[in-house]
Amino acid sequence: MIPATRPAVSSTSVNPLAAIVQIDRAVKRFGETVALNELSLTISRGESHGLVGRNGAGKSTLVSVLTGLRTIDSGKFLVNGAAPPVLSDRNAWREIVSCVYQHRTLVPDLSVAENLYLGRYQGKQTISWRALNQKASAELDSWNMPILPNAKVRDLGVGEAQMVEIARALSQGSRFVILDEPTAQLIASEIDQLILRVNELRKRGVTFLFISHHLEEIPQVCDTVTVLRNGRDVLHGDAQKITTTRIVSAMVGDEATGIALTASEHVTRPPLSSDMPVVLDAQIKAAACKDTFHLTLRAGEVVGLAGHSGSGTRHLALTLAGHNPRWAGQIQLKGEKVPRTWNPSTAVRTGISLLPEDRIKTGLVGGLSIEDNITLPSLKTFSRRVLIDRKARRKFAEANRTDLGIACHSVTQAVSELSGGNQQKVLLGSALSPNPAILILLHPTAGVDIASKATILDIVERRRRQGLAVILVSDEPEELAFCDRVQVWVRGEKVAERSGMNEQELVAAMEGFTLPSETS
Amino acid sequence: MSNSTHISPAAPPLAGVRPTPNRRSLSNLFQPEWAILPVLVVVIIAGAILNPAFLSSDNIYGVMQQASELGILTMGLTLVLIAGKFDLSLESTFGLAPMLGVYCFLDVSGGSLGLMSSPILALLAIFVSGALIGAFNGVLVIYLKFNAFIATLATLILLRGISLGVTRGQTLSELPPLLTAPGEASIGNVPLSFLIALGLLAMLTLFMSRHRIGRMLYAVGGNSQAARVAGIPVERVLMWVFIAAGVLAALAGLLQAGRIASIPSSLGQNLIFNAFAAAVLGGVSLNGGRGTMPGACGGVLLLVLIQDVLVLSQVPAYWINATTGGIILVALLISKLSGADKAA
Repeated sequence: MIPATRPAVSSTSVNPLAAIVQIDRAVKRFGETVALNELSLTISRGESHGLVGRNGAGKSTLVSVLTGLRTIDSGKFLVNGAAPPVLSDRNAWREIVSCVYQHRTLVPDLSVAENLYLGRYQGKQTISWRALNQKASAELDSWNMPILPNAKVRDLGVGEAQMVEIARALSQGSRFVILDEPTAQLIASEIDQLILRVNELRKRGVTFLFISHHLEEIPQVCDTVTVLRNGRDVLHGDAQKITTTRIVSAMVGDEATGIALTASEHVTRPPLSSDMPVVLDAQIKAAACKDTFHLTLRAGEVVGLAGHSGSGTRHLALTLAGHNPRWAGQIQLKGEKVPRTWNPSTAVRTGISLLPEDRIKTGLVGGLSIEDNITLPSLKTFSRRVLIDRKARRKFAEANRTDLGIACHSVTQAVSELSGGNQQKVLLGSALSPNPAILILLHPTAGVDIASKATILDIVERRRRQGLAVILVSDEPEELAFCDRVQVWVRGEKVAERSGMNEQELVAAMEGFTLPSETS
Repeated sequence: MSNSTHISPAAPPLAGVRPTPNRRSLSNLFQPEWAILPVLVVVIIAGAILNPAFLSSDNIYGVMQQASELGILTMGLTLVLIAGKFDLSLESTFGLAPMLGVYCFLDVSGGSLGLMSSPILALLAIFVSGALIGAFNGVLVIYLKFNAFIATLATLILLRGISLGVTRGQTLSELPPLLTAPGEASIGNVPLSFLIALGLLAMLTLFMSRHRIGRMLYAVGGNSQAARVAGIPVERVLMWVFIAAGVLAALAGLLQAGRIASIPSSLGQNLIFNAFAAAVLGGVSLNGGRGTMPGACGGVLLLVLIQDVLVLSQVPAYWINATTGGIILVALLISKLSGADKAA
């Protein structure tokens, strides 16, 4: 607590008539990338404003500007009708706006009351637990949230924890709350609860910016909705009147409509001949999924599992790769049933490789060389009698380097020194090194530059022609365009399985919405 | 691909720019494990100046013996550290394994089960107990997922307690030649234990750099999740690491027991801290995934030499520990400032 850092502007000087947020032609660049491109947005006091857009549309950048984590390069940005506080004045920002992120920001082992007032204990040297609990209780009651102040946050449900986050935001004095994909991790009943609560708080004058991937929630919660695309506000209107079809086409953009995915520029693939052998036949019953997962995969086939986080697609893919010890169902690999003790080691050995989504955290060993990483799953093939045949291994690594176009001084360079795109290529080389029959890709081109994206899909396509079967987990239509057919999952339910879906249908299906013209 | 053993390296059909060999050997000099070399040279020069006895063959012989015992223990610890784990109890294994072997299968003064007397069985039992203790630690840390620090701290105390309990604090002495020879015998002017340590160093160096399990250890320690995705049976590999470390600690204990021709119940006490210090001085990362056997052994040599120089320069015995601790800190500071050590 440093005194006198907070200027005397606070809730008293707020102009009650001004809009909470007024942005006019804001531009924000990161190097070459234009994250916000003359974006305009007005959020009036007391409204609930929906914000939708696909990944990379500029939502996160906008949120970071609104919460005072970044400044815009040019354009006008007013908060409560006045210039926003400087970025370093966190207290001033906290009184204006707060954001409830997808990931929890509460301390799980502390009580609800402690979390509410963490870092803001008031009074003398010692904390009076009774006073703190009473205060928390009053705060929660005033917002009609039935949560015990002395409960541990760890014991709360996801929905309840979210309530506490909102309550904390409100107790800091802010009446403008950004909810960043609040429903992604919730089950249906919790979503209803949240919507109910948000609507109640709205009546009490709290302003919301509601970011969601689930379009059906927008009219339930929002008064107005803004659609972002490529850093621009492309559609703005009354959330009750605007149709979901219009929202979807605004998200996708005019240029993309009507392009059937299988005919996209990446792939002009002849239909798969029916005599290709079935390499995988799986039925998986996952706890997180309402529907049983069925998949029959032929050699040379690319099947997409489309869905946002919380849809269950990632869980299913990880189960196939052996990363789920408590799986239920049946997996037949090349005609043979896999054992109950299905694990990653057996999976890699018998021909299923996984390309995980978070390459730094789960994919690569940063301190080891490119060569080490690429040959990690296939070390056995390089072992001669006792030791590794270094020449053969080096040769393999160099061939991969050329093949995958990895830009580096030498294959002995540590992968932590490479750029994201090159790291992803190393990871792909590693996944392909044991010569798998099936390759499972999780968001393979996320966070990768355009040139590397093309190379990565190219490599996979080349291997596919040699008979590699591919399962691609993604929520990016560009990636899914690579698939022969796509299963779309929403919250553990399979909502569609087809080939030749266009981008618009796909985006709509992943948002939990079927375009009226389609019956799937 | 499995039979392409001898492909001409001169004709890589797809290779791009090949790395120039010079660049590689040069950059090797800047690896953390080599940062210790200049410090070693300084210590040796200082030792020679401070006391001429430092370079006497007797003194060198003693340094070799001590370095071998600590070195073999440290190599075991280094295996565990590179794999990203921890084992504090190795020093108790160092003491308990030789004691159990002798107690069970020999009839020596100080205590015995009195069942039979077979030096060969005793020798075998020493290594088997080392392996079993290692496996026990492994189960605690890997399968029961106890925190490695606290679990091996508990076994450190437990095993030391068993050493004390079994012999009621007595020292086992009058060991047969088969058990004392490894730690006591010499070939020419070189102690046998030093040759054993050198042999192990060569083997483990080759193992870590050129055997597939060795490479897997770096991957498991560097990023166990990535290792799992790559199909490495992480748990099984780690179990073998704990077992190997236990066996190495047992061997190191046997060497020391041979040198002092007895097994006190305090054999190896406090040695694990020296092993940790040596490993870290030699560039082994406590976070796993980084370090080499030669580096760790360089650390061992440095530590043993420092202690030797202190003794020879007649630093009062009561101050040896404090001085050693201070010097370790200074060495860490130097390697940190020189940027050679990214780990500690």
